Amino acid sequence: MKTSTKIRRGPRSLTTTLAVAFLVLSVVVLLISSVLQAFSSITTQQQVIAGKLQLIAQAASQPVSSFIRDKFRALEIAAGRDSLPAKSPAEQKQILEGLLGTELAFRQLVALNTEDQPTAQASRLSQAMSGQFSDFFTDELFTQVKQGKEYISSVYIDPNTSEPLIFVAVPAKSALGDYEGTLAAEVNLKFMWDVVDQLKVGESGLAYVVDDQGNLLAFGDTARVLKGENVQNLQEVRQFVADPISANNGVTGIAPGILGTTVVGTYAPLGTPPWAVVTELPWEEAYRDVIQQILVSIVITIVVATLAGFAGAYLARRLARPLVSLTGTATRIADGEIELQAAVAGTSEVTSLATAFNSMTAQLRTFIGELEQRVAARTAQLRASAEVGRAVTSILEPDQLLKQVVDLITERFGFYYSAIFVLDRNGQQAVLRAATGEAGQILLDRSHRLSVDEQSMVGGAIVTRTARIALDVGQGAVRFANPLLPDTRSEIALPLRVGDRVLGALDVQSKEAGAFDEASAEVLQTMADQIAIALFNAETFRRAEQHTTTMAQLNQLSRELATATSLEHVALVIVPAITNLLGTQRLAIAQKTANPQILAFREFRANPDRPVSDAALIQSEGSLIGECIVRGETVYNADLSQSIDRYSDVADVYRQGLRSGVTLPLRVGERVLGTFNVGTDRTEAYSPEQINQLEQVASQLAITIENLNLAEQTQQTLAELDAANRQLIGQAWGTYTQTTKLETAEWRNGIWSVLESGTTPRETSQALVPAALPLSLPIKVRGTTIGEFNIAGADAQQIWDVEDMTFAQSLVDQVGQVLETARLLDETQRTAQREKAVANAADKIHRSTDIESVLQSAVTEIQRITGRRGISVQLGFGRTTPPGNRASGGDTGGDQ
Amino acid sequence: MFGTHRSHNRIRTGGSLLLLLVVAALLVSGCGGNQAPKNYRVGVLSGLDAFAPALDGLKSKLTELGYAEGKNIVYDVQKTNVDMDAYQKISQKFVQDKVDLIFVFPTEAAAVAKAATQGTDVPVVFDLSFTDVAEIDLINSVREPGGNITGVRFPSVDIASKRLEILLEMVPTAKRIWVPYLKGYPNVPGQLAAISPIAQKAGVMLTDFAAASPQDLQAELDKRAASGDVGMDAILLIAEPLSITPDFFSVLGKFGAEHKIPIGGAPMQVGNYGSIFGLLPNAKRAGEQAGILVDKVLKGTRAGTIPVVTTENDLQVNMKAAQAMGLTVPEGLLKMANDIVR
Repeated sequence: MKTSTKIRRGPRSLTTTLAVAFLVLSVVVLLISSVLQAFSSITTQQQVIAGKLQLIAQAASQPVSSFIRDKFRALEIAAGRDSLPAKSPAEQKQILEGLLGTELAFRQLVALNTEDQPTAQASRLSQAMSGQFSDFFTDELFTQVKQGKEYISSVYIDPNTSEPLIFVAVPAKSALGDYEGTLAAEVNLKFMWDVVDQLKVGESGLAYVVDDQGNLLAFGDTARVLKGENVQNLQEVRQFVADPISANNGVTGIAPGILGTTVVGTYAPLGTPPWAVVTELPWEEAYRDVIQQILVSIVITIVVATLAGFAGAYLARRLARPLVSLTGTATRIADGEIELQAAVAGTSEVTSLATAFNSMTAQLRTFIGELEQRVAARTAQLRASAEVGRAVTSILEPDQLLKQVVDLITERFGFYYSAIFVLDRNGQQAVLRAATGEAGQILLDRSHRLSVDEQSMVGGAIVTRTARIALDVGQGAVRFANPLLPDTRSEIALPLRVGDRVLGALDVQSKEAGAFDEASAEVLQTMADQIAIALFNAETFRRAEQHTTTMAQLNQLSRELATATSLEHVALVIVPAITNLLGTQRLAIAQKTANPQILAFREFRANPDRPVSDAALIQSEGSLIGECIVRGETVYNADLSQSIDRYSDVADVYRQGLRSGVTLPLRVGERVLGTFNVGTDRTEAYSPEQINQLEQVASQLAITIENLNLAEQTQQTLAELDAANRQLIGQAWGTYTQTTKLETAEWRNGIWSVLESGTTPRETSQALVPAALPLSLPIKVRGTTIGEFNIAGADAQQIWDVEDMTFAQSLVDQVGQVLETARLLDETQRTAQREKAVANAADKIHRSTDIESVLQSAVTEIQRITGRRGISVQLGFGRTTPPGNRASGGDTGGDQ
Repeated sequence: MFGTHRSHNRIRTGGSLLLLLVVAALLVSGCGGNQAPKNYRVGVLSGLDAFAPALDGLKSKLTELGYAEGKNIVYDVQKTNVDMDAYQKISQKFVQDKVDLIFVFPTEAAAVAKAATQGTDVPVVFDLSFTDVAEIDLINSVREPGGNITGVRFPSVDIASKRLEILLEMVPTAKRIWVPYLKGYPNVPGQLAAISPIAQKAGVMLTDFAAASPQDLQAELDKRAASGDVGMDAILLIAEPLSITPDFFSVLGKFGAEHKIPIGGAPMQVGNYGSIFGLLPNAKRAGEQAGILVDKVLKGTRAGTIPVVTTENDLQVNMKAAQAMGLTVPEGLLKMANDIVR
């Protein structure tokens, strides 16, 4: 891609400008003069050329005119010769033939008598081709001829040759001049061509003949004539056609000629016939002298312009020299040499300019000096401001930040005193947070603070959010008098702004009067804004850090509460956590009891041996705790003294030294289990944020207490279920051993034997018997003893050690489990056998098709399954004896 | 009048400014370059000896117009005499040679040249040719000849009529006029048709004879002489080749002299035998007229757009021959004659 670079030229020098102007002026004047001169010359030359060409045209017209004139003359001579009409026709013919021989242009001749009848004729053509003369014998011809005038017709064209012809006639007169007849002739104008062709018009000009219609009659290029060309389109011809009679008094301008070239032309009317000879001269030839004159003028103009250019350059340099010198001085001053003085010399205008220039440079030097001082001061302020800015962005601890700032301001700016006030929580007062010098320390020790109002400069700056300046100069100055700062002569207080908020104010005092102006106030305000932002960021950072720590502690507390198994455990967790969050506090919980009017109040202590006090029962009604439970909302008493008359419990804790407290409901869902109570010996001890943290603790605490309550209830339920289970297992084994006769069986030395009726297994209450013989081990199923193992060794003196007994007991425990499994399997099999028997019986019963056989089958199957006899069946309920008491079948087994 | 003056003044002022501009343009651009002159090659078919001077007239005129033979123009002259085969060969040669122009005479040669150049860019300029012969379609019209041909004509029909009229004027006693001509020459019938009414009007009997060769002519004349009555009072030469061919004319001249039979029409003189008058265009002048046309064609004008030029006839009266025949030439004819041979 092609890129174009536009070069911007610098301004042209004065010398060049003057020289160019002089040259241009000279050339313009010369050109105008030359053009005017050339124009005048051309105009004059045109007149000359016009006359010259007119003469040429008139000269050229002479032969043409003579050509015609000669023809008339020849006719007149012939007509008058020996009085032609008086001759015999043969003689007349002879005369006419003689005329044909002398005048080649005559193609035909005819003699007529006074009656206009032909008496003789002669022709170059045969009689057949000569045509009829009668067409030309018009009244006009005879009228003119009889009046003694010559007649000439319009030009006509021979259809055979395309040659132009005319018909002419003259009167034949007697010796006395009387009309005796007419002699007419047809003239071939092509014989005029040679005449025209021989015309010399200048060196390279040409001539041609046209009639009054613009038809070309004679021209060197005869072909154009033979074509019958009309050249009225040419300017000269057009003028002639428009006015065939008047001579062309002026030369027409440059125009295309008959050959298509540019020519200067004119014409000369012949009068009779109404033709004109047009002459054309190539414009180069016609204006040759003028062209040469113009060329000479151009050369002279160039030479004079060159000389004028040199002269102009010389004069321009001479005129511009003082100005160039002054320009050089100005350039050097602009480059830094401001002590330079322009040379006062030259013309009066230039000396005035130099003097004014020197005056201006002097003022400029003064101005620059003042400006440099102000720039230096402003630079120092900006540098200090930047340093303060760097400092404030590198310190995150607010107090350190503020201290650093006031020290930097005082040191870098050289001020007497600097201090920063920060608004308190309520925004009512500006609290001194940092200050310089001994005075500052004293004020800090005093916790110096100012009301936020217009009474102080600091308060006013905060209220108005704009800088306040007090100057010890001028009328209306404001003075802030502080005996600790006796040398203060001027002071400025600037608001510490962050967005729409005002955090406090920067107060700066100086020993100089009028030390602060708008510019310095602007710099200091910029710095104050930086301080405000840094302070805001530091405070924000500190709060964020605290919040993070608090959230970590709360999370830790939540996790520990979630694993607490008792209220004491809860106390051991929650007391140190709250102390970390809020400092030393008094903590307690109040829980509902079975009596809705009574609450159990327990205090949490830092004592690990007894972390929870005994429950103290308090009345719900009339207490702040009871009201909190009812409302289900947190109650914050910033000053308990305000509520001691209203709540009995508040009065109690107030007497114990608490001054503010928070009562928080322990809520699980919609249920309120009780309250969590926090108190301290300071009034207004809790911020909203702290209360919010306490509410989070109370929420987690409520869940923990609910869990503890649920766990206790679960333990109780499990104990009850275990007892019931044991009872059921014992009953099951009792039934089973009775059914299976195992209750009286004993296995000894590999043999089962049935014990005496009424003998029961020995109850063994202890699991393990101390090493004494024999050893009895209880057989347990889910904690219920269903029997016992009595192990009597062969050696009566054998001692059971603990390991053996533990092994034996483990084995016996396994036996208990296996026995239980075996029992359950046995009972299951029994049940399955009964079910199978019932199914078979039902199948057989279903195969019966009548009532009797059904009943028979049913009785048979019941006997077979149960092994019982004496089964009877009774149908219908109209009898008095209930069906269940009706026996049938008896031992017969078949009497249904 | 004021209006005319103002108009003239405006024209002058405009012309002055235009002249200034033209001068300035010339100074800036120069006057243009020179073109190398072209060397023209012109083929000349000279088909009739009697018209040979036409070539002289052509060269003379072209030289006058700036052509220099051997420098910017070359003439390839091919001469023959009433030989149609030669006309054909020469014309074809010119076409093959791609000459810049063919200059040709007489009529038959022009017709052959026109036919030979059909479909080529070779222009034809004829001289001394008939254009009023129906059998020869040489041009469309005098003003617009058409094709790529133009030239110099002379009217054969009219010249024959005029020759008869002059003959009758010079030999008023002649009542039987014998008209010989070249056998098969195309323009003869037209001429015979033209002169027949004139003869009839004058009470003259015309007898024509077509001769293919001088021997034919001699035989006929011998036959007539042998018959005791030659059957003629005068011999009219019409515009055709026989009348201007020396071999033929010598036969006629001898016969005329032996039998006192005047011969008129063509300006002939062979030995001691001559015609009493002749009416014929001047060949050299006709060549000069053709030169103007050749110049225009060579400069780029298409020949077919250039009007055909008509040449004039010259009247020559041979007083010596007339007196030998015992004739008295009318004074009017002598005055009208361009040339008198005494």
